[in-house]
Amino acid sequence: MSATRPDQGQATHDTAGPDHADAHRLTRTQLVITVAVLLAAGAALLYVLLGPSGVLRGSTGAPAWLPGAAACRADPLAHVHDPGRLKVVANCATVRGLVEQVQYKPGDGDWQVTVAVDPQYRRFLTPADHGVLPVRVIPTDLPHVPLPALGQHATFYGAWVLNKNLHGRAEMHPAWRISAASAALAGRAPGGTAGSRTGGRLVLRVTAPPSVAVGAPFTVNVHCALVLPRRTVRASLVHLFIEITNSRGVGVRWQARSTNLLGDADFRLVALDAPGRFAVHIYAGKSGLFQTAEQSLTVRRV
Amino acid sequence: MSLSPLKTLPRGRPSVRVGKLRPRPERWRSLVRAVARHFDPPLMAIISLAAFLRFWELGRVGLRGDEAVYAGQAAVLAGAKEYSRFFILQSRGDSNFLLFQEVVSVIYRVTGVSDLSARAVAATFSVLTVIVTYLIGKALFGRRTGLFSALLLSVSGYAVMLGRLALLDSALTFLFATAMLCVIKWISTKRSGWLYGFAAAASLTVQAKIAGGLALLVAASYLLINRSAGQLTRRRLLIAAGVFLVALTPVLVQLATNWELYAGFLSTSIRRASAVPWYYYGQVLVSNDGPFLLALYIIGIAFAVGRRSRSDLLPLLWLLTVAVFYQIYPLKAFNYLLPALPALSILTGRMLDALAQWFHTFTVRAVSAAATVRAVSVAVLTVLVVGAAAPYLRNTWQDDSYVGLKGAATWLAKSTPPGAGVMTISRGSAQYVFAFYAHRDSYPFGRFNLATVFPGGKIVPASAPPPAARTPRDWVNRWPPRLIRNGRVSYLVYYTTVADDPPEESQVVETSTQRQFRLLIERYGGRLVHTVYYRHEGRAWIYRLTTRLPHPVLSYAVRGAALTVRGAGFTENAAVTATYNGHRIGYGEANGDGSVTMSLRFPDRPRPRYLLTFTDAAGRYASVTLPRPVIAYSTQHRIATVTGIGFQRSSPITVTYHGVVIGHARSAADGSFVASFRQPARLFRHGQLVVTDRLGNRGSLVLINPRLRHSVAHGRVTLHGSGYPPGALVTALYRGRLMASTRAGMHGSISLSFTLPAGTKPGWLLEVRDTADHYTTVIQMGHRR
Repeated sequence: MSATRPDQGQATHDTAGPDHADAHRLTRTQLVITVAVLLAAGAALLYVLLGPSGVLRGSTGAPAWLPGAAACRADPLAHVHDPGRLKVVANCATVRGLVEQVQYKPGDGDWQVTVAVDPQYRRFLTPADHGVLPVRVIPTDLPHVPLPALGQHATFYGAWVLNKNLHGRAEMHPAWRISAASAALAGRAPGGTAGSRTGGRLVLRVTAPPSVAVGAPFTVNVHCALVLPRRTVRASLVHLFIEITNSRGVGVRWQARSTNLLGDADFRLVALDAPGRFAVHIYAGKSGLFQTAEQSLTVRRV
Repeated sequence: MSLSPLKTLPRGRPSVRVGKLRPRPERWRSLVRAVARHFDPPLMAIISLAAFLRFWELGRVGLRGDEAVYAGQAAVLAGAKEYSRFFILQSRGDSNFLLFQEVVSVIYRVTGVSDLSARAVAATFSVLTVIVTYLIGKALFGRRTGLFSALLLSVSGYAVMLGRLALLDSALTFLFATAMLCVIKWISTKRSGWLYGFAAAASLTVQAKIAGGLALLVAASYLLINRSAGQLTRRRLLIAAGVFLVALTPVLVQLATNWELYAGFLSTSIRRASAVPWYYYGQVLVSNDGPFLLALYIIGIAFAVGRRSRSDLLPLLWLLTVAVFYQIYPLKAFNYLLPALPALSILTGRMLDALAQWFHTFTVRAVSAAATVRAVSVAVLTVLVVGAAAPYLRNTWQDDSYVGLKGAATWLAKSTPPGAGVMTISRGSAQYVFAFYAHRDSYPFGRFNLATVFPGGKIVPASAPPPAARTPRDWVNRWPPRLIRNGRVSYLVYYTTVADDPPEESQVVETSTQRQFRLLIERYGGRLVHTVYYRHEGRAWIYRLTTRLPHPVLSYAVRGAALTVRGAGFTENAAVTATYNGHRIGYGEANGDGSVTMSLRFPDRPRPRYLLTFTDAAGRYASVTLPRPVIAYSTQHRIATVTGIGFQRSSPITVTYHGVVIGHARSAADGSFVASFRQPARLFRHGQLVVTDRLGNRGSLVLINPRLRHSVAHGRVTLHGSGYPPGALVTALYRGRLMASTRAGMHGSISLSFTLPAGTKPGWLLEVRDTADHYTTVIQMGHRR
């Protein structure tokens, strides 16, 4: 582009000194210095983009999906609590490995299966995994996802995510199908099968306010009873998971609890949500017995 | 290409100075002409527009956190003693040396402490920056460029937004631009006064904000590239350095008196980093100035780079230095780019000027009225710029971020006792809004690398973040429970920063910190006491905590038949019911701090599975099991000794073995006892030693019950056991293979040691058996590979 000499006008005559300089172009030395500065700036930009925490550094990818055994979910994070902490790498992935641990997580109601994955899957793990893959089975999937036993070699189907809250730990979260190599150990429901053997069933009684003002605290009380063939007893230590969904069916609140010895559990919540209609879903599970309940809730302006 | 020195202005005006003193009417006319010559209607219009945009409804929304800190510091400087409890005269991020606060404090001394005064000072600096930008543009390129530059800066949504906030950036930018103007004037006029002015302005820029030191870098590189450093004689340099140091005296005094504090703050502030994408500042500019102005900025830069004109050099260096510094600097914030905006405006103004000139040149061939064409083209460009900026200016005016904080603080000031402590979501400073407006002790909740000043002046530095994390969790996990437990925090304020009408779900609770703060409200029984509304939407919610612990706890003491139970963490002033095994055994009421004490009768027949439960009216409960008596058994020289605790005090004690009474004793006043008797002649495999008192408290143990302890070190297993039949042969088998054997001593104790074979696995079991094969203890070694 050539230098355009502007018409400075009458009023600029008294400050005309620098104006005449416009016609002078930079010398070669000045140009070199300017280019050097620009190169330094470019290098800094490249560092920001590709440095240790650069935005363009790629993720580790995800194992391939093995079709046939289970259907791929369109929205893999449905019913997963606080999905914002998870970055979905692949909606559907399949991984195989040895079960090292099966653990209930009382904080969020998930069951975590810790898997030593087969060698071909290790490259998909991140340093935050420390060599083992956490596979999460969420409460809503528990009725139809039997947990494997310790030491079992199993195949896991689910979404491959990175957990941003745990330094980018790779997880299968959620897993919606687990198939075990050894049929003798497969099919175990979480918490054993005592309840299902007795032929009992869980009964939930939910007490929640139908309407609550924005920002107001409210309590959802859940009473669990175990109905056996001849009697009904209070169901203690029932794993409860509550999910509140908005009018579009999108989850906005999640909490997990266990019932006390009287079979009661209180979810103390604060309605810091936008006004609208919500649904309170409760998922209960104990000893192979599962039950769900639902109640509507309106969050209103005062 | 050649580089010749800038032409200098003629010194003075001979036509004015030479000659006799003119008659009075002539002097008046001369004065009017001089005023008229300097009165530039377009410039006045731009300044008026800038002032209007910055001052209109300046106090519509209350102060934000950082603004409250600066306003509070200014209040302390102005001598308002009630603020000294909450604010210290030191930047917690080592970012500034209180220059802006000093200026505000002067205003405070006249008008009194208010949020509006602090913002008015910032707005004034912002308007003054428009004038300085005009002068720079005019000095470098001419009046029309100066006017375009001033117009761009005056209508820039970004500049207006920051000009309306009581932050340091408007003062910094004004002083930065003033320093640059001094450099330009010094180069062009060669008058030393401009150099000394630059030294003073640069010094003040550093005091306004340490990043103002970039002005020195810009000036130095400009002088070097421009080959003007030769004008800097040793004498001038020394005087300029002297001026710089004299102007820097407040900084030196502050550093000398508070050096340790500065060093402490520095260690935490250098850890501050923002988790934002690399294009963050681009986003900031687009959201505040809009894509059209941003495009103009980019074209302006490209135009200047293409021209490679020496006059473009200073604004380019200015822009490049500030932009590169903040792009590399790990801590990013929405206000950091402001010092670069005058440079952007000048480069863009220069481009618009050239565009108007080109338009004039292009059309003047066809149209005879050149002046009209020029005026129309300038007017069209002006309308375009203002029109493009208008929607974003409207957004800036209507910005209601943090609108609920002031309302919440006002309510707290009116409706809570003076000693009530407040906690709110913060990235280090938001809590000070309550200190400024309500004079309440306030604390943050969140994750940040910034020291926190406790009410009274105690400084709590930010601790080191956990491994692989950027920010510490002190103010999420550690301090909030502690401050609530000891009653220093009794109110929680939840607020939203932005909201649409109607708001989307994600806007009420969005971030992880917000979720955790909501959890804090839920755990501590937060009761909603006030909501701050803005345009019919809740923007801040004030919760009064009804308990001091997330879960109630119980402890007890037994004195004979009296059981004293103390509870904490119950709902304050709530009725509390005590039950034992589901039966009500007492009532009480929690105190104001949620504690409760009940004196109950010790249950006649306590059982380990029976729960003593306290439940308050809000349904919060805690439970414990009452003590089961504990006994121990030892033998020496065939004399057995049984000791026990937890029995009814001063009660007869009966000792039986396998159903046969073998001893008697009496418990002491503390419920303990010691009984000695002849060791049973024969021990049974399932024989139990049972000790009972008058009330039926019962302790028991199986006498022969081998107990093993094992340890593994460097592949060597060591076993120590007791409870075997004296003289019994005990073997250790590992995965069916005999590893070692020994005989039990006269007291039934054994010790074994052996080395594990190679290739062992955690799942393999170690079995320890006696010869009669009565007792087999299986140990899973459990060591990791």
